[in-house]
Amino acid sequence: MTSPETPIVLKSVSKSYVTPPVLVVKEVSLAIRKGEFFCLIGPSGCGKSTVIKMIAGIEAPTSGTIERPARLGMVFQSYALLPWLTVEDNVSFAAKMQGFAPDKVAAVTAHYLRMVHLETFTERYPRELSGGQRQRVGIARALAVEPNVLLMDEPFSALDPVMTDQLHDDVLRIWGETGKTIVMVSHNFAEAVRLADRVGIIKDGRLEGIVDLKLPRPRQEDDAAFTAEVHNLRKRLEAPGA
Amino acid sequence: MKMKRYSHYRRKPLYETTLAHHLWSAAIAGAIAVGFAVVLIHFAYPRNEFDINRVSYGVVALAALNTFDRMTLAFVLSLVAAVPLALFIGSTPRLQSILLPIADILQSVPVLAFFPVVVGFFVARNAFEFAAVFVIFLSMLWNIVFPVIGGLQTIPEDVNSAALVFNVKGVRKFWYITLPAIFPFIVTGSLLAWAQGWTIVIVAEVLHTYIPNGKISQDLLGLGSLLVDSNTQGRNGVFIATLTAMIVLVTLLNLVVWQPLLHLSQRFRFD
Repeated sequence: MTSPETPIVLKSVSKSYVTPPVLVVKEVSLAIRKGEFFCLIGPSGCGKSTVIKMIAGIEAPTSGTIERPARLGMVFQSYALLPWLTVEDNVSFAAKMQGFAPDKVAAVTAHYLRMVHLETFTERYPRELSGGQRQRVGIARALAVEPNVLLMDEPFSALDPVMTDQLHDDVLRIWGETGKTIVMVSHNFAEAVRLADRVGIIKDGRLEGIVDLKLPRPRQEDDAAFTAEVHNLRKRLEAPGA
Repeated sequence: MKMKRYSHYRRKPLYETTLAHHLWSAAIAGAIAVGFAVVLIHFAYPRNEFDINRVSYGVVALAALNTFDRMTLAFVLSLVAAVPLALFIGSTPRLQSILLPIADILQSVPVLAFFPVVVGFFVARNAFEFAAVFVIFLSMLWNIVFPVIGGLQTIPEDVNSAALVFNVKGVRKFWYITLPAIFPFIVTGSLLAWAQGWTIVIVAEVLHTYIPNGKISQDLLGLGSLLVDSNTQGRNGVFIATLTAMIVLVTLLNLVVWQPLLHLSQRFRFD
């Protein structure tokens, strides 16, 4: 059962496709703790995005069970914004679809646009924004549905390094301000070490282990301990039969 | 102070509208309503009698109106049929793999091959107007179906996923995501459909050639029939006047309808 302490629980979750026949996720069991920043990491095609899509309800597991809260927010790699809606409407649209009263829609829209520093961009269209700004809209939209858990599927992989650094800071600040549980998928070791409390290592569809990161925050990439954790993650992922 | 700065959010609707928006919408709705009234009157009281040897500018103008009415009715019917058909064909990859080749074969059959049968069917029921409308409709249909099927494929997978996560399903998904996403393709398909319609109308109004022992008097008054009949009867003045009327009508439609719609549709395209 989902409990207040573990809002997401996966039990022996597998996913296979018929055409072509392939088993992409194999017997993954995992419990996400309330308020933690959890990162799933692994190489391209390892099944990590499939895991987060199953958590989101986008894909159904072939076997196993997933317990999750009723309301989730999700941030996508390609932003998934509607080009015909302004920044403000993209955010308020998601809130409206939850059945919130108009006053609440307006309040959460304003609140989260302020939180991602886009309060002066409300009337812009997505195509008029930079990649980083678009992803900020994606984050505000995900938060505007007042989710119990925020899911992020490689949210920074389409951005340049400078923009990625800024958004890392923003996400950490938002995480601190909201206390949301965050589950993120990434293939970037340094990103995982910078952001996460725990890192789940996925290889060939299997959850090979979970690394508890004890580094104090804020974490600096030039710290020796930081570099050691990145090295440790890489070693664990690259180990044969890991 | 900050809350005051954003206080406009409190009463602002989801999609902002102003008085200018409402007036513009009312003007467009009014123009469409008048247009449909004209079309309905045309089909309730068709005026098709003409003598190719006595054609005034007034007759050319009436012919232009008649042709426009037929094209409009055929277009509306093809739009109403094409969009649901495209949505059905494109609804699942499996359905698409079965129905798309069938649609492809159907669209490759020349519309005019149906024409003698269509004319025979409608003429037997004394429905001359609908013989022309039906053929124009057939010529327009596939021009909208295929772009709309293509448009459905442009909706990014992440947008469909976001719709699921944010509880945008069923009718709400159609209204808020699918319809806006296919709007540019409806516009480009409609442009192609009208272009095809202008080609076919020249034949579709000249019914007498498809009726055994047909006479010119059985043709529908329109730009198409005036062009063909004036040409065969050597009425060069009428031919030039009719051709000019057709060019003016096509240009006006392009400037007033298609260019603004094409411009608007750019906003609805995924990058």
